[in-house]
Amino acid sequence: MKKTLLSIILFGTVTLTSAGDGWVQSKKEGYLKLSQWWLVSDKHYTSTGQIDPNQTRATYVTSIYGEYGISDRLTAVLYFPFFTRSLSYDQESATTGEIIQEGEAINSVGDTELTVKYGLLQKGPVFLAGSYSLGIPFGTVEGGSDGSLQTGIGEFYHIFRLDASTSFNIGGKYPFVSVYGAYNQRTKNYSNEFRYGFKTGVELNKWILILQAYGVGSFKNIQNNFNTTGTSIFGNNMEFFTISPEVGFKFNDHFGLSANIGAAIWGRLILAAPSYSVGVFWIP
Amino acid sequence: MRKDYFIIGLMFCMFGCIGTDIVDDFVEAKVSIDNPISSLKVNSSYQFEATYLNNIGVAEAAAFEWKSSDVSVLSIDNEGMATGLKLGEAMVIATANGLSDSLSLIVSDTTTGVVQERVAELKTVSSYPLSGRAILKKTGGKTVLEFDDTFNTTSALPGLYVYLTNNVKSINEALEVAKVKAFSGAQSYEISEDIALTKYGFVLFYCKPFLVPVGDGELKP
Repeated sequence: MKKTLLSIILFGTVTLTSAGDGWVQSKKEGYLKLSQWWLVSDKHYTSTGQIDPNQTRATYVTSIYGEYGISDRLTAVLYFPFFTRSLSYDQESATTGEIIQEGEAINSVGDTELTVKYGLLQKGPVFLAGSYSLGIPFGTVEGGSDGSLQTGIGEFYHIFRLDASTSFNIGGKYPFVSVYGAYNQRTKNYSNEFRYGFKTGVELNKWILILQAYGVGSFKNIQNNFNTTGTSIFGNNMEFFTISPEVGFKFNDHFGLSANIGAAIWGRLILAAPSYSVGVFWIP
Repeated sequence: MRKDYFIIGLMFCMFGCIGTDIVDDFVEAKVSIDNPISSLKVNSSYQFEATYLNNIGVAEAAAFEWKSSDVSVLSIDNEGMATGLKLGEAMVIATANGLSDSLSLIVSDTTTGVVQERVAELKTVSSYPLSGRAILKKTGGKTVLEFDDTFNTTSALPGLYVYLTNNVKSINEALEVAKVKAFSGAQSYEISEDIALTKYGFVLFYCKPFLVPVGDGELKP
């Protein structure tokens, strides 16, 4: 689950026009964002796509995301969730009022992602960039008394991704459109994944409005969850399609705020609740 | 100043609190005769036992009143000791806290019907498929829970455990048998405790990590 959560968190973190997509940073330029992302859910999408209840689970992630232009073509990217909290709720009997099972919480550094991104086409009208990401399992795999609380998935993974973006002039404004596709090669008996997404946005004075849709699908090359690390039912073959609007506000050319919400409108083996993210970004 | 407030807000958000889920675990309280038989040999005795299960399906101590519907056929004392007096048929009735359970008993030339095994037809109570048959029995001095070859569920449930319980809505006070070893086909689990076959009324399948009931089956007889 945390692997997919990490994906969602990243989608929620990196959506402003000055970062990500088919563009790369110019040499010695960069982008930095401090974000808080959270998800609280008492239901999930089952393996057949239906929604079932579960004990309420919550994850809170505080992270730093940064991009730095090594050259005009090559950008280094770091996603570092330096504080991740995963918790489960108390279970109280409606009949007796007694606590049947105490809730639990764990805190740790979360799984981290290092990316190198290369600008294949950077002169327009279409901007194209390819990237490779290495997922590093810094998080806790089996936390809590029964091992079901996680802040990481416990596997290294490799993501190969292609982004394409374009921008055009409409009445003096410059909205953009981006699409991407990616392949996630997973390890430790997890099925590999394919990812895809669409994003459009526009900057209106100091406001940035973005709408994105993205999804993850599983190749299902590993059919069951018996050998996965941990005991999460979300450990393997999860799939989803999410719609996520975002609004940002730039105080000036260097500093701004953003907030977004992501809601999976379809999914399998993933929590069924909206995620939220707020952040402050800085452009040197 | 505005930036400072925002950072403080972020720090506050980092510490999500543990909330509370309210679990609907109500079941009707009931009295259950634990060791039924179908016939009792005339001029012999049999010790009946009963349990009172409260509104969350947990056994509670209770004062039982035992009655026979025909004292000329079957007598029974306040401790549940029944004696066949003559050939015929009578009802055994156990009462506690205003609730009763009863069984029809034939007094004949032999004692029969001691429960040797109990069977549960399994069904899903979630969106995950689960079906088949479970058998609870004594064998070789051990208590064993078996699934026959019709058992089938989904591999999407890595944290699937099987329990014996008197409340299918909760695993509170349930007996954890084992983590399910395979998602389909015949399998057997030895139960660590020496329990009466009638102590629990249901087989319950539960996704333990997320406390979700997946399927269950009532043990019969």
